[in-house]
Amino acid sequence: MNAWYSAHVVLFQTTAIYAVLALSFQVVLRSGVFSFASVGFFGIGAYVSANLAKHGVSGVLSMIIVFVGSAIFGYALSLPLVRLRGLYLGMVTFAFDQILIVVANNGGTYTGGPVGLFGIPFDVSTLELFIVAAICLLLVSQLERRSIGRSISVLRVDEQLARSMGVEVNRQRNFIFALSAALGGLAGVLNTFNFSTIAPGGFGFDLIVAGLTMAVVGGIGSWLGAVIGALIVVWFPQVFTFVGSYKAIVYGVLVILVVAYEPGGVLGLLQRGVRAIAALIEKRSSGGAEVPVEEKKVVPSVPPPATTPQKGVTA
Amino acid sequence: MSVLLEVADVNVHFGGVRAVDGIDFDLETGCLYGLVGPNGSGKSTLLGALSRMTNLTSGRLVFAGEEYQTYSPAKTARMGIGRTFQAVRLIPGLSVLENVMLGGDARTAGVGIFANWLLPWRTRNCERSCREGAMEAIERLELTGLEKRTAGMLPYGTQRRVEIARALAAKPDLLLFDEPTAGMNREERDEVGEVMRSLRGQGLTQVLVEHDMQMITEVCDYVFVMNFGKVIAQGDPEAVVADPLVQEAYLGKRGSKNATA
Ligand SMILES: Nc1ncnc2c1ncn2[C@@H]1O[C@H](COP(=O)(O)OP(=O)(O)O)[C@@H](O)[C@H]1O
Ligand SMILES: [Mg+2]
Repeated sequence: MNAWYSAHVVLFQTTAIYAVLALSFQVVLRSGVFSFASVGFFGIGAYVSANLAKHGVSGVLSMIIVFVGSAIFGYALSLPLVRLRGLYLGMVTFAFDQILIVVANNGGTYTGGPVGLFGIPFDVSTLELFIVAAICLLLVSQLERRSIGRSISVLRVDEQLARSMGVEVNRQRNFIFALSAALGGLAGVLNTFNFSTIAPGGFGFDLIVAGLTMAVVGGIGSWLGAVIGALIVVWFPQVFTFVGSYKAIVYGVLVILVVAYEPGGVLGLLQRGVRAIAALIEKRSSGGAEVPVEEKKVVPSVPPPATTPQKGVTA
Repeated sequence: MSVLLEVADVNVHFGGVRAVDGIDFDLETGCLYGLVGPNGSGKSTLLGALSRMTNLTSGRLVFAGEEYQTYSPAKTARMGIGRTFQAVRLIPGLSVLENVMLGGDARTAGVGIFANWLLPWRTRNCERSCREGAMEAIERLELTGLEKRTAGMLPYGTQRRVEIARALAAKPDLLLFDEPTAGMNREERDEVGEVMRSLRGQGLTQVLVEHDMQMITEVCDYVFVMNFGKVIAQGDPEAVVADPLVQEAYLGKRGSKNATA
């Protein structure tokens, strides 16, 4: 077991880092904000922390600086973007990621150009990685409770309804965007600390695909989905080694399958399973004779009439 | 009686379409108003304007002495103007209780995102009163026992009642109903009508958009009739329904038949 752990410690570390990145994606997707900016902030966090480490800034301070800095930058970025929806926001944030890659390639000594930076003098223990990831999980899980949890659920499904329920939609979207940016940046810091290296290829298209896959396949409904997604993306290629270089294709197919057949992701599937088992147990314990709880008055599901009180009125 | 809502020369134009065309009226506290008119006459657009979800082309809105035609829809909701929609708009994946509690959140959203997120002790009381308000509304609409059901799985008429409960849970001072009983059977309509009467008894001001003339005459204190974005008649429900002008514009030849439907 111990030997197995040592052989796979990199995977454990990657799981923790990816879980934070997955949260960054999940937070926006759950709110109906279709953004890829997480990966751009991952790059920013990775490079900024590398430079800070060169100047002897401590790991914890570096994390705080990047977390807060990314949140502020993310908030500022969200101000002009808040009116964009769906695909348009996706395209703009994708462009943001691409611009940052160009910057990384041409950043001189700050970024090390196409080769990137390596031998960054900082190390973080696996335990510390997990502690940071756990704090992030705690933060995000608090967004799923009580009134803020409900308001975010509405935001995704029906924005106008959210407005009529007193939710300041744009303010909420700005906040979510900032939090996602902070988490993305933090994932980048962890990545740099753990692997002592970062290059432009480290936050490219592959990472966008991985991030989306984690959030969507795991299930965007909850932080648990992000954890499940990170586990799948990190360990799946390890178990099914034959996938190898076809990883991107497999991820793409997985995402399509989930979106088409199980929008709740693996998490949604598990929750349904648990509910079904619970219902089965309840049925058993009550002798199996129980009729499903009946509504007081079941109306035969009348389709809404066209509400035409009369024919021939055209207004 | 005091005036709760003042609507002064409100216009909503979509390009050349004058969906709401110079509407002018006052609503008094505690009254139940009917708003009728043929399809496309601008009723929904007017409710949209009053709840600030549709921008005014011009005009003035005053609620409890506060001019609010420039407010955001969210602020308008928090100020105490609630509404339901013509189409069912529940969050299908959430439970009935959660859907109804959404209504109650309207008034607690003011605590701010940060407190709502990370300071659970600041929201504990809000959450409790929100839950109590939601349970009360659920009871009122005879949805007790369905709290944990997934909203999207319920029959259509039941979903409509969940919507009304959600609007009530916000504890509004003015409640705008856009065809709340569309698709319901007679018995359910009567039940919703009774809920409205009892809310009126508690002093809630309501506006009811409804095609069912029987319900309008039974439930409302006062009726406005719209056509082509204008109020063409108003007054006592019985008298308005009998008005030949209204019959011609709205009820047409089917008038008497519709009134007894
Ligand atoms: N968003 C919109 N854009 C353009 N025209 C609209 C819009 N909403 C409503 N209308 C038009 O305004 C008129 C009034 O519609 P509506 O308020 O829905 O009527 P009602 O609720 O009385 O049936 C209709 O002619 C409709 O086509
Ligand atoms: Mg309408």
